[in-house]
Amino acid sequence: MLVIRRKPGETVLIGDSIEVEILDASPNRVTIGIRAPADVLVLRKEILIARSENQAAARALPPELLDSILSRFQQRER
Amino acid sequence: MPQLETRQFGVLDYQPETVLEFPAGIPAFEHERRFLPVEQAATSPFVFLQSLATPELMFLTLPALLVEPGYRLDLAQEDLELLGLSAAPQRIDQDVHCLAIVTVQPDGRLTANLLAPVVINPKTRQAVQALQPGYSPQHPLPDGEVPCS
Repeated sequence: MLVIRRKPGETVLIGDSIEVEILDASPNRVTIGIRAPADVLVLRKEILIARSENQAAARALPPELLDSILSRFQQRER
Repeated sequence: MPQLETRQFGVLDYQPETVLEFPAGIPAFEHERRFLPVEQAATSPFVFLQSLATPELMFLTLPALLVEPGYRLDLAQEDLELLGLSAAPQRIDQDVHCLAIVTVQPDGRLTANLLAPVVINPKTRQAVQALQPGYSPQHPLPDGEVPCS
């Protein structure tokens, strides 16, 4: 991984068309501004994880599996 | 009272004021803006989030504090704005409600998504799926079971 040290107000270029500017930095949060062509998708990485986990969670559960999940819990509660 | 068709529960009567509005949708389901939380004694403490638009779309969730008693939220500014909240601390069960979506993994394990919890402003019924980096998207539920309330 390429590591570059930058200060707020400084910029990094990626290829011909993408600019990443450090807007603000505090001990536990960095604010960055990204200039990129409209056809370049810019996402927080966690969004991709959330997308795939949502798709997995939305898969219809067979009714008998759901019943077994619920009854496992109910047995434990008694 | 309006009625809602669901795959899991058949036709449900519901109170319109209990519907949750997701102004930004949720990742992978950006067009799904309205969900009904379904809580029934027989299925407690699970909360089902049933889409109003799509009868087949239902998420199984658990209160995040049941999954992880020490769970803490640190909401991003854009999520606070979507919820209509100020930057004050967001105490779960007081200022906001917080649900973790449960997934049955292909090997049968149950996991809860603590990376991307559903956060609800109970006063306005607005909700977002917030990102909480540092937490696991597949937090294991012990022995594939769920904790007691």
